[in-house]
Amino acid sequence: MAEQELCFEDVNEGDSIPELVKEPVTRVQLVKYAGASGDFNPLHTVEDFAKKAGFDQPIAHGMLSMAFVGQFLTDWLPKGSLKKLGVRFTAVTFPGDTVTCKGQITKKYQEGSDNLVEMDIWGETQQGQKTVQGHAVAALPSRG
Amino acid sequence: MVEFDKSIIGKEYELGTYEVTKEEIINFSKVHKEVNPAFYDDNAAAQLGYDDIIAPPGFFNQILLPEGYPEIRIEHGRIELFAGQELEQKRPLRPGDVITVKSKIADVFEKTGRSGKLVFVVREATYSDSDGEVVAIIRSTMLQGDVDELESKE
Repeated sequence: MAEQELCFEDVNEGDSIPELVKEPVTRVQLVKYAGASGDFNPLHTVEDFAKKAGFDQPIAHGMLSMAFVGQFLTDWLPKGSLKKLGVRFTAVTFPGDTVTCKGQITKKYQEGSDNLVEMDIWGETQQGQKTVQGHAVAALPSRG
Repeated sequence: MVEFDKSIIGKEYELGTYEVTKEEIINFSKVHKEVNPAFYDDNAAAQLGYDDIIAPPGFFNQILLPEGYPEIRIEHGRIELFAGQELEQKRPLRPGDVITVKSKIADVFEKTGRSGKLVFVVREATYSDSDGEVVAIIRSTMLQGDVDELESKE
């Protein structure tokens, strides 16, 4: 993987970030996630519980969406360059949903010795429903 | 406003100390089907000039959740959901890091949505390494209420 690292000079305000399409969320994944994270809220794994809460089926953990957008950014950015990531969960994700992460560069500037870029990021389902929306800041290396 | 013990706001709790292991980072990366091999593959990390793999940003939640959050006794509505999260990362976590997490209730507020009153609880967790350096700060917002359909509420 002798990839060229993304540099400050490579990006411009208004640029789109390469999309990341995740495999459909599965119930097995939610159970595994509960095990891996220790978040055993039955809303994410037990059908009856989810129905009582008003959902047709168990819903994905918000933190799974957070992990998806984190992954989207760290796949594109140089390692360790992500400084801030803030999200709001704006709709629930169900098993079977395919989440595509998207983003756009909103600002590019220097602050002290840091070359910073700010981004709007979001994840949406196959129906175009935004499930997670937020912003991120990264400090990129410079060729200069 | 919902009834709760307001003295809990701002009070800091130590949630314990956690050692980051390579095995857990790899497991986490597999569950999330991480696409960047530097999060699970030594060779890929080495080619980028790192001694070892590093943890993806989502891993911070891995540390927090098993230890639990400070209790705040607010009971409202049918369900509790994550509403949002802000992560400020000073550096990525690495295998071998020994991390101490402190958490506090930063804010409690209410909003009225289409489906009625929603109560938001904001918790702020600070992650420090064994040198006492802050590695990350995470603010997590949970909402409680009767939510049939979540919509943007900013």
